[in-house]
Amino acid sequence: MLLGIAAIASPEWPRRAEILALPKVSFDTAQGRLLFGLVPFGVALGIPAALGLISANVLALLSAMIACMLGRDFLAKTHDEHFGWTPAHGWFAVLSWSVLALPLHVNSLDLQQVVAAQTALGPAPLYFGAGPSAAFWLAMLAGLVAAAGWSQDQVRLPTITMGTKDSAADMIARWGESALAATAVTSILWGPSLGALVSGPINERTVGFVALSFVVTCAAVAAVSFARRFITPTTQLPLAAGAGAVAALAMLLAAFVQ
Amino acid sequence: MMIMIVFAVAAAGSCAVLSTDDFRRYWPFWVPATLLFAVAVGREPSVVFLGLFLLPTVVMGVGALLRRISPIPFLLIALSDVALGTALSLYQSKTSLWSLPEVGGWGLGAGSLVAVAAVLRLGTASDVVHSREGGLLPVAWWQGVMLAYWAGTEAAIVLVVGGAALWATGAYLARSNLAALSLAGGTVAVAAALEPGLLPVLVIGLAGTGLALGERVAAPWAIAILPLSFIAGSIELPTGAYLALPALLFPPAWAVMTARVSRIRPPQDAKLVVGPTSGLLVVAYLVAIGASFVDLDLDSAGTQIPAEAINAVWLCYGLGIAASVAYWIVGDDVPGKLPPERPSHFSQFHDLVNRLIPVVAWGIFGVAMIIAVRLLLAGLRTGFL
Repeated sequence: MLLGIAAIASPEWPRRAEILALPKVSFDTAQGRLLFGLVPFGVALGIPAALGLISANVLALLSAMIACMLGRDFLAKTHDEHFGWTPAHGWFAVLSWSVLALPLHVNSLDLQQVVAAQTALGPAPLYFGAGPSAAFWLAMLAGLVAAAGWSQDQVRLPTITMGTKDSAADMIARWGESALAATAVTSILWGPSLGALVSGPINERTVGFVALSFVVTCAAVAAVSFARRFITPTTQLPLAAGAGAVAALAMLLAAFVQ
Repeated sequence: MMIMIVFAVAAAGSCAVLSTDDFRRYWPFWVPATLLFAVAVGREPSVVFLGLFLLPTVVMGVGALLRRISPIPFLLIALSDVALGTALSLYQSKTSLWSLPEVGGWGLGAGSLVAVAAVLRLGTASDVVHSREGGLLPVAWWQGVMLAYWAGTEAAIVLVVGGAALWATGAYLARSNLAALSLAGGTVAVAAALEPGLLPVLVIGLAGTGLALGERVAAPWAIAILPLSFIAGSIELPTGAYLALPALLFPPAWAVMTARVSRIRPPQDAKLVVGPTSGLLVVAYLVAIGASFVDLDLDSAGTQIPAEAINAVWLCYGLGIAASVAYWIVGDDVPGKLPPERPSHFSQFHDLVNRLIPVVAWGIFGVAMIIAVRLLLAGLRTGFL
């Protein structure tokens, strides 16, 4: 569902038929296919981890994003057009700072413990009290901007057989990555996510919070996917710098303001 | 092949029998182990599939034939095997890793069949787990157990020694590549900070060396998935400023390291040896850790399957479905056979992997045979069969 929302809101959606009709991309080596596998692996691992549905910690969530980046980087390197550092690496740092705000606040890197703590307190930006709430609102703002930037500024998957910049593989991978990044930010910072129903007691209060969080998560995924339109070479640097400053401030606020 | 032989010997002498707490604690190792296992299945499907998926079912079939257990669980699991086998055929024919032309072209169908197999297995689990058959059920229900069953303490020692030797060799051979050494050192430092165990440190260092020497698959996969093992419970978290400062510095450092990784240009010497071997050791490491999940104490039937294990299974199946869908969209249709070899950056590796994987697959098959016999004997001895 999250992938579908990301797809519909994405800038590629109006041209989906045209892009899907193009000749398929071929990563025609055994290693090429396996390297591409890092991208679906990262998405399929990261979203359940972010939602608290599986036992994982924050590092596992961040490593899911790293998996997506590594897969793209190595495939892009086959054309020797890519020199390692990309804007996505900078966005990753901003995104990580945002995601780390709540784990720092509750002093745990275990995502299920974080979800449980969040469930006890209520949706973070609404119930945590004035100081922490301000930190979480800031972290969400910066995190959603970083999510859009991270998914938009990833290296394009190489189109070995096509000779055009558009490819279905890249388009669909980007949908998954934007869903992953937006879910990570919203699920952790807003919460409680679906994992609260799995790992904690189920009562009216919890179900209400989770339902609210579910709506917020879907809206955030759509917003992030839509906002990718505004990540351009002109805007990416000021946006990344601003979001980075806000995210770092929010993370430190969340850690120190109880 | 040497490692396989060592594991087979270890299987005969040291069958790890650990608690479900260990299973719960270390379940993330199953995910990468299964994924890497899937790679082996993709290249030598018949032997690995028969060895690891069907033999446990055959063992249960013996029990059903002797009327020692109900035929229903056996039939459900056998049906699940059929679904899994068909799904693998479809998936592999679509991705050209394994060609079966008569059933090719149905990537989504493969994913659906995998889901059917998962439902059958989970449905079977709820019926059987509380019965006296529960002790064996995890083996048939979650075949990844078979991969790890035979890796005992001796295997872990072999891995540590072999990993250290390989790491030192790789560092020596890559001495002119400063990027490679900085990567290896950086990853080892991160691993050492997060996980006190020696083995993860060595293996992550090995992944760095593998990258430097040109192994473009095992090394990034290892870097991407090994953080899964950094269980929060094993980390003594500082609080306040002591945690905030690392949290501020760690993401940019990780981003820089990731960017650095993709810039490494492999040297030409020795990569044919160290690259694939490092991949094999990473797989073996994951399997060795996976052994700690295994609870094959057949006398303690009725062991509950932890929710995390079920989540892990669903995650693996989800990954399979995701990959099926992805390849359905982006993959090439294959006209009935593997595509001809083309010159590429990886052609030498490709050739070597093609030679290596059948050996590994047959080694796994041999180990699976040993395990099947042991299971059969244990089942007969304990009255399970």
